[in-house]
Amino acid sequence: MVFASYIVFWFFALYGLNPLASILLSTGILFVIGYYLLRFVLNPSIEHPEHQLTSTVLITYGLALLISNGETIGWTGNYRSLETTFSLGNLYFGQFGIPIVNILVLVMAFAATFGVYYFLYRTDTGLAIQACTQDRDAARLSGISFRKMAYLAFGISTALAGTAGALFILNHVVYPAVGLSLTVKGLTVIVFGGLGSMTGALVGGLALGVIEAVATTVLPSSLQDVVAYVILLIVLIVKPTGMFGKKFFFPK
Amino acid sequence: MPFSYRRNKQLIYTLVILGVIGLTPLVTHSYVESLLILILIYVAMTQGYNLMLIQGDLSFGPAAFMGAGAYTVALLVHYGVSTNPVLNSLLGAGVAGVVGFVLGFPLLKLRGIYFAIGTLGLAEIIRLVILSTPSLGGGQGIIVTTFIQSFNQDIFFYAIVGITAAFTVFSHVIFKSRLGLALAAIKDNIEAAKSLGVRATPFRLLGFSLSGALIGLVGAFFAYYNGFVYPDNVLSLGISFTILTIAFFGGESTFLGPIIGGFAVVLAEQIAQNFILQGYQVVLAVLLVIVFLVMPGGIVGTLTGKAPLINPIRGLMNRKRAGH
Repeated sequence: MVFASYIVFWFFALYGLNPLASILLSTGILFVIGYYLLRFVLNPSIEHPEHQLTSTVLITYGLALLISNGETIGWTGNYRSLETTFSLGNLYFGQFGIPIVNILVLVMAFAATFGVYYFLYRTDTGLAIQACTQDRDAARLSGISFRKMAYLAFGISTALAGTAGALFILNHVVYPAVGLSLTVKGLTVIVFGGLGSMTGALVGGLALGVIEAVATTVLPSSLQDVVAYVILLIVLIVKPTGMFGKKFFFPK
Repeated sequence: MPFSYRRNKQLIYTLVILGVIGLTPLVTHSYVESLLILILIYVAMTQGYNLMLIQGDLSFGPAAFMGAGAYTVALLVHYGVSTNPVLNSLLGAGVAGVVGFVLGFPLLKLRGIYFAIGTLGLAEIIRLVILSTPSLGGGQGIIVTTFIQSFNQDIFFYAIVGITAAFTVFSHVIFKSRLGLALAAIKDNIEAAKSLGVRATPFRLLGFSLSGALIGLVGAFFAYYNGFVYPDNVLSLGISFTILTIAFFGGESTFLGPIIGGFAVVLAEQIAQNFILQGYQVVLAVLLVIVFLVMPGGIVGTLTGKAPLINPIRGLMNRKRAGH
């Protein structure tokens, strides 16, 4: 996701491309990256089940480190941010002023969520992907190529990360290490909302955002990230399936 | 039961290597010695960490135990409670073990990826809490000792060689004991183990705490050797990741693995640090990715034939033809 933020930044800085347009760009680029990543690099982790857990987790963690360190080497660790014509404007509702950027981000985030929902539940390909999760062999027997669906699904998830990255840089400073805390927060949202549930992700995201906002006023600044970790742990211990989690995702 | 040399090959090799290393002070001092001390610190921690891998639990938090041991020592010295190094180190190991026990309780209800995430979360929480608590040193850390290292480096050297050797023997003993068998059974198939009367959670808890205590002892050693502790040098995620990389690159759950992996990884890191100023940890990531793409058994696993190389190119071509 941070990589996507960098893409948007450089396109803006070097070519003056309007960040809104580059949202599509970064989403697209990351889809392609994700699709081929799973296909060529991560494939062994699908195919060798005895090492599956550790290998998947460690390879992806390794890749994450690779990317973030690569960014440090290539683009230095300096903080980057965007300044555009609309980044400073506010919209006023009576007494409350909300920055336009935030509203934009909210709208785009919802749009992306609905887009994925529509794809997953209302198109044949989407239903095919769901079939693969529910029962891999039955899906294959029905003529669905598990392999291709896996690539597609992974591609979509990286594409969404691309969108998120583009949205992120509209509002925040970006530097290579920002990925770690964001990854954890993402994990927390997913676990909190429940794996495999889109409503859960939505609710989880909003909930975490609110809780964090409250916590920032109460806690000292160095403890900020702790909030996400603590929530994560509490959820894992008390109700690992999260709020809306589908049962078949949970390993015994 | 007589000690069979053939069946305990790896243990022998490891001890021999350690013995050779142990002769170093007779030949040279300072730089090479301090490098070896660094390597052995990691090797020892990885040996302790291997215990976790024997039971099949992937943990992202070994640094938390190192920190527990190190900070216990640091606090004991700082608040003047006790200055005996041996006693403090043992207490450090003890505290780390207790931490493992206490934290393990809720965590070990989880398995697989959830457990891994949980350990990551806990390790980071511990680090951030200590970072924010001035009385525990906060971001500045605590000075443990003002020894001038170079005077006593030989003592530290022999100590760490001894610790590493002891850990290796200890893991070996555990591995062959009933505890070890139980843990291996749990790793293979938890349901089968349970049905044979092996209660998973107590054994995993024991393994987790023991592993933590071992790592904590090394942490305590580090506190004395380095002279001061602060969150980034004993509790950071980078340390956990290095231990993980060593464990898997060398060969998970093997005895020779941590030493070979330790040398390879730490040396690679040092070299990379010389050439690439920022972001040199890329090298770790690369090693790790290589392991899982090509050598899932790590170096030792591949050499002993337990886990053959995966040929990624053949894998690609097969997929195109077989098509599923």
